[in-house]
Amino acid sequence: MGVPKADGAGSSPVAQPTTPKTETAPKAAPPPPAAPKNEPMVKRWQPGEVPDAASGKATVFEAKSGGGPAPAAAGPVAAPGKGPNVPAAGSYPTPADTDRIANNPDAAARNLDITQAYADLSKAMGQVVGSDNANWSTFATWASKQAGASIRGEDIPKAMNDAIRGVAGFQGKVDQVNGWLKKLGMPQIPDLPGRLAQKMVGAMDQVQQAIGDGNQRVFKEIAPEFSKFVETFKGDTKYDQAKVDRYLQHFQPGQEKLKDAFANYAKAQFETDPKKKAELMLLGNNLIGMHEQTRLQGDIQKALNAPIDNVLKPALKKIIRDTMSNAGPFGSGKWAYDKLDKAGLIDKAISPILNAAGDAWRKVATDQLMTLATPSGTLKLGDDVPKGFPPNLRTIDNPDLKKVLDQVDRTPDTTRGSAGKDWASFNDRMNYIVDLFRSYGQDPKMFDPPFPGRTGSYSKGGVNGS
Amino acid sequence: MGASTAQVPGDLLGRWVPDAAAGSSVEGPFVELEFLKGGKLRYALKGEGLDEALVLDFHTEDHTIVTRPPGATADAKTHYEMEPDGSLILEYGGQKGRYVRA
Repeated sequence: MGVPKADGAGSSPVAQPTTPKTETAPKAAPPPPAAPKNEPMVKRWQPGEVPDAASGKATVFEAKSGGGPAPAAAGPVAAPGKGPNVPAAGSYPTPADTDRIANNPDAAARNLDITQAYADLSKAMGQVVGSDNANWSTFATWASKQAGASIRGEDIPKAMNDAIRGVAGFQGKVDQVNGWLKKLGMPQIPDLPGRLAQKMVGAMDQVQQAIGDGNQRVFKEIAPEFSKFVETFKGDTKYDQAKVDRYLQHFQPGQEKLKDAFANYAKAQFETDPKKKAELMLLGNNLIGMHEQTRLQGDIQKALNAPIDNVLKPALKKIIRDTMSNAGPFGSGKWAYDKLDKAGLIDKAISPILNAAGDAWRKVATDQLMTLATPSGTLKLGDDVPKGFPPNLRTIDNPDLKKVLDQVDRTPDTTRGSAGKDWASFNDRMNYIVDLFRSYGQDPKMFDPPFPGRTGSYSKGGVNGS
Repeated sequence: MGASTAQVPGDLLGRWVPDAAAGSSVEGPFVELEFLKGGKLRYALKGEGLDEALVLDFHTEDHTIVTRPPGATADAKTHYEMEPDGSLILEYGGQKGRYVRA
């Protein structure tokens, strides 16, 4: 649920074609062979096969498409169903597979692999614990797919331009800089807002990189845990506390919420009361969400703030230096710039405009980050979660779940007030995420395949650490 | 590029500041130009604790001030006009800057 933006361009593949099917229980058909070491574990997309949605050129879930469900070509895809409780080996990634996926240096290919792997783990979890309720990996699938969607270049410059010009008093700050130049006998800078907006577009690449890095790290840590859980508990017929306790021992310090999450998934596996089960799954999802968002906090803050110093400030200084050097009188501009810069007076002069441009940047970057396309529509995370809670989650009985919600849900038992304002804020993100999980956790469309007609293909080896 | 007194119009001589930097309430750094009889142009940055100066050789060709900045391989040419009100207009970078006597 990092809702990140990684580089989604390119054609990489994660999955191999399969015949369309509407049920997802594992088939008796022979699973694909395990990938040899040091090679992609799944077949690559062939150039002609890469759907726009996967290549980042477009997505069937884009806002402009109306956010509707996957096209008919995808076929109706049912939730995995309870099936035989035994996901087939090779139908979901082993921890070794997830490690290999996470370590793929090709960011675009990695993103596609991660998305597919989350979907396959979600499906496998659905077979083990039941698919009436989504698990965390179900949501992670769509967050990861969103991460791979390119930010459409044609929209960003306009958004930046509008945001910059929308900052209160921005023109006054531009006038200040030009007045400062005038006293130095230097030319005025034409269309400074527009030129800054152009530079800010490039800064979005840094956001994609930073968030992509965070997403990679989260996948590397959490995906193998789903794999281990599936491998450990698949085929079980009754709850075995001793087995659960043994399984939970492998979690490390710092993974307490993950450990609690999977303990609750284990309880949910054999819970027959639908409400209790839904609450246990929601509790597990929320705990992983909190763990994940804690892990992502640094990346998100960096993504939103670093470009101001790393991109905007150098860009603005370069605009001034070029203006002075190229057009100052007597060829003295470069000398004057260097003297002023050395005295710290350039930084001082641009500080107000930099702060204002930074505000505009954060607004645009946040808007870009705060979009999540799901099979049930595109969510703007700056708006309230648009869907109510399912009947058995309208109120919460589970005391542990109540405790978690008390910590992060500012408006209990309603999605009103769930809108995120500042995506750099952990509390803002979690306030939204817990309502997202609660509202959409029983939406069967969430189990739709991210790349219709394709599934992952993984090694069939045992799961280490289980 | 040689400089000669004969090539320096008398009305150019003296100290000049941008009109935006004239007056007592000026804040921040500003430039002060001083055209000297010997064909020297003292280009100084002042204000905000700054007192840096660059001395350039210059001469004029019609309404153009020709300088050779340090390290440059070509002359820099700055068009100028004297206004009836006594102000100096320098044209560079496609823009005009008005200077007044300091």
